[in-house]
Amino acid sequence: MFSFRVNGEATDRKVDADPATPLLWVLREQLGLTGAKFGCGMAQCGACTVHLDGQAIRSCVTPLKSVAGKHVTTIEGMARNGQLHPVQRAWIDESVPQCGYCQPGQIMAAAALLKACPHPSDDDIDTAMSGNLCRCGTYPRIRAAIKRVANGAQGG
Amino acid sequence: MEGFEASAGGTPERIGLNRRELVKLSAFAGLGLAIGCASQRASATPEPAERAGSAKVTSNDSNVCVSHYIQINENNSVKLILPWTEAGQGIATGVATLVGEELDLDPASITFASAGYNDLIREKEFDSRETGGGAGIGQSWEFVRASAIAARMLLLEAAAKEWKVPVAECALQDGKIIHSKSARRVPMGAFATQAAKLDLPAKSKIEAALAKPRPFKYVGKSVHRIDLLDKVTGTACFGTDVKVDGMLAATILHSPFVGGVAGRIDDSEARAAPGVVQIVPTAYGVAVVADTIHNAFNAARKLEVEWTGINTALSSESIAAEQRKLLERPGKAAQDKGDAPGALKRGHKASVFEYELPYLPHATLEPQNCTAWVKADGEVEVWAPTQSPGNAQRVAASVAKVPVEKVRVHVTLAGGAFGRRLRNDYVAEAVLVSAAVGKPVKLIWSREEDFIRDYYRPASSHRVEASLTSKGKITGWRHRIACSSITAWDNDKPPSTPGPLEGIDEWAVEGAINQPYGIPNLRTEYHQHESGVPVTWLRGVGHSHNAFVVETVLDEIARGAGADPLRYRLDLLRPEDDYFKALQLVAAKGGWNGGRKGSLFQGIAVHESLGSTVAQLVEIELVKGAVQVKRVVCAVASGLIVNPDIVRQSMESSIVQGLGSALHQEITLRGGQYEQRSFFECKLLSMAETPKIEVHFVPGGTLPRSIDSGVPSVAPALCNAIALATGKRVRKLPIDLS
Repeated sequence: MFSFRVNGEATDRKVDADPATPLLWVLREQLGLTGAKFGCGMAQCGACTVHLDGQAIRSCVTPLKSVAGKHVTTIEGMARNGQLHPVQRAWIDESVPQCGYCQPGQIMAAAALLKACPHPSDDDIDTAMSGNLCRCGTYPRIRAAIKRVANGAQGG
Repeated sequence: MEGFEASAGGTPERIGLNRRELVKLSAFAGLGLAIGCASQRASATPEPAERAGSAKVTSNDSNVCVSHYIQINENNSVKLILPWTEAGQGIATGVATLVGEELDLDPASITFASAGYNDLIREKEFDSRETGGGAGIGQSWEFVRASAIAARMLLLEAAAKEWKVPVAECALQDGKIIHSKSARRVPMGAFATQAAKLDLPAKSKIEAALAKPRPFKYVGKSVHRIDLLDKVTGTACFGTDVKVDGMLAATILHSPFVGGVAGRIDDSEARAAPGVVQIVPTAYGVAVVADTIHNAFNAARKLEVEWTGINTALSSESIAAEQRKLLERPGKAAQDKGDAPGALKRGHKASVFEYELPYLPHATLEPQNCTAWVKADGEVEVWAPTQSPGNAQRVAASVAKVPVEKVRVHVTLAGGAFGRRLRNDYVAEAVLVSAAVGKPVKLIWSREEDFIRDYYRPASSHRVEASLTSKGKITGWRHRIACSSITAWDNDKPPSTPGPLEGIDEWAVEGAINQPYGIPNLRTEYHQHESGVPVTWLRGVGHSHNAFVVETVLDEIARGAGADPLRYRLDLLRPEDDYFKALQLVAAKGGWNGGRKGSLFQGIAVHESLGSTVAQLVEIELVKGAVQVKRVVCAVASGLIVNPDIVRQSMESSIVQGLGSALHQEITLRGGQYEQRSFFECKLLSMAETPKIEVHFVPGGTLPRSIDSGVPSVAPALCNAIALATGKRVRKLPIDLS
């Protein structure tokens, strides 16, 4: 039995499964949180990105046993009290998504970047977001949305 | 009333109200008003001429197909049931905009779902269209607005009747029915049920309303996409997100060899793996069914399959060599204008240009998947991100051996499509597996399987011969193309062999024929070459390879004649041509001055596909011998723009994909096996490589056309810039300058 906190809920979730089960499938199948997506299963596309204790991780290669006692945040946990997270808000304002499949992972990666680096340079963005692929090619708008949040943080 | 000619995948189609009837959906009575549009099936016996006003779909109207409907509920919510799949291209928002325009309702308040064969009166009456060819918005323009206009008229009539006022004094405003004289203001939904009881307005009234010019409130504005919120909150439901109570999970192993079939299977370890329910060999591959997808993937890795019937001599080199050999002799003529062979003989200078272009993958980020449930009573239910639900229904019925009427298809959002989901092989697989285990099954392919069981953009070889005058004008042009036939592979059987092809494959020659450059002697020839590698439509299709060849050959000829490639093209075009306008616009916005811009190099190309024309200007820098794309400017001529920002999205997408393919992508074969199985081996363009992108519109046009015509002109513009920068002409993709 593995216990971990999901999306700031009041109590831990308890999951009884093979300790090697990737967190991605625990989230999607056991917990019904289908926001994190399966794109490759080998940490190459980033569609599975969630936060573990605030850090962006690829849940498709993160075994269940390694999240025990920790905090997991998924796309479902980004909005608080009915308010979208600033990154989600920026994603809408810049009309980022096309097919939308990669976007939960993109948002999680962007949110982690902005937490660590509130005013990222283009190079910072390139590096931090390099593991999140977008087949529809929404990269220009992802960059614009990240900068929108960064500029908003300045109060500008 | 004029319809317009829309090019849906190369087949012209005339659309106008004279071939369609509005339909009020009587089965929806009691819940509100639902109005759709129906057309006659091609095989129908002629219906009485006047159907408007009395049209109701009844169980006897077996020849009538409803293609979409608008649902206005008593609680004032408005839902759009679309005959297309929303795969990122923005069709849901485009169509909702047309509905909002005619109902005077903010499109943001409209919800949508893709129609499958499920929620209308009877499944087979729903004419779900194929999503593809950029045809959706053009096809919607009249008949979606007509049905919204009819809804508006009925709502106002119902209110006027109740209020005992002239209907001319009533209007729709921001989702409300208003009668200013009496200061009445009521949500539309309040009259939905009463409106549903009235006869449809006369067709002439609707046509008059359609034809009445007035300033648009929502059309032409960049209204926000209506699918954004779900996609940023993770609530959007893709095929892989479908949940059916009691469902099992499955994955499937396909032959990594071209044309291979499963021989001996050692499933002893796989069967013993945790959670495994059953191993199901099928003609498509060997499926593993388990309690969870993790357990299915895990068990699949323990399967040992001997693949038989393989051809280990097959390789990318052997395919290219065979195609090159075919090009040594004449092929079937797809077009023959003037006397190209004669002109080539007589020309001052005849040049030969040879090209080799690779198989390209779709690589949708959501792998192929389908949830299927073959029930004990013979009913079949299928959930899939398919682009062709009608075909999915037929495939499922055929595989489950049930009548088509027994199959319900639900269409989910698609995590990318690009043509891959016009095929329904994954539907056949899921149905076979569900039938074997007697439970609902969600089948998800691994990424590796998605790469090796694609239906690829065909690999092609080209030979262009052009004769020139001493001044460098083209007098004759012969373009010979060798590649597989998409038509021959247009089926969802296990892909071991292609079917027959009669004549020319239109998908192989599009973009090579019907050039606008005024070349007097023009001949295009096609050689069908099959290697056993399955092929299908990938965004751009034949234009993706032919535009590359035509636009780089033209560029090379221009430079060889000492001419500016922009000027050279403009001299072959007429000022009223979209090609001319798009080139001029892109040159102006891109700052074209012969191709050099400081330390940067620019290349241009232009191409028309699906009825729209896109010119691209690609600006590059050479950094330590490597190409860096700094900026791409594009000019789009696609008629009336319903939503400028969605067109920009489409162009951004096309440019990223076009650059990615040209710089990085090929599917190669060695020893009869596919070599690419991951994003590491077949790279997408990265964030860091993505240039600045600017999109401009050529004004003009009263009807919307395809907004997805951007891919073909990207790669040639890039390679034209590379030619200027390095002196090297790229004749083989992906680009390799070493």
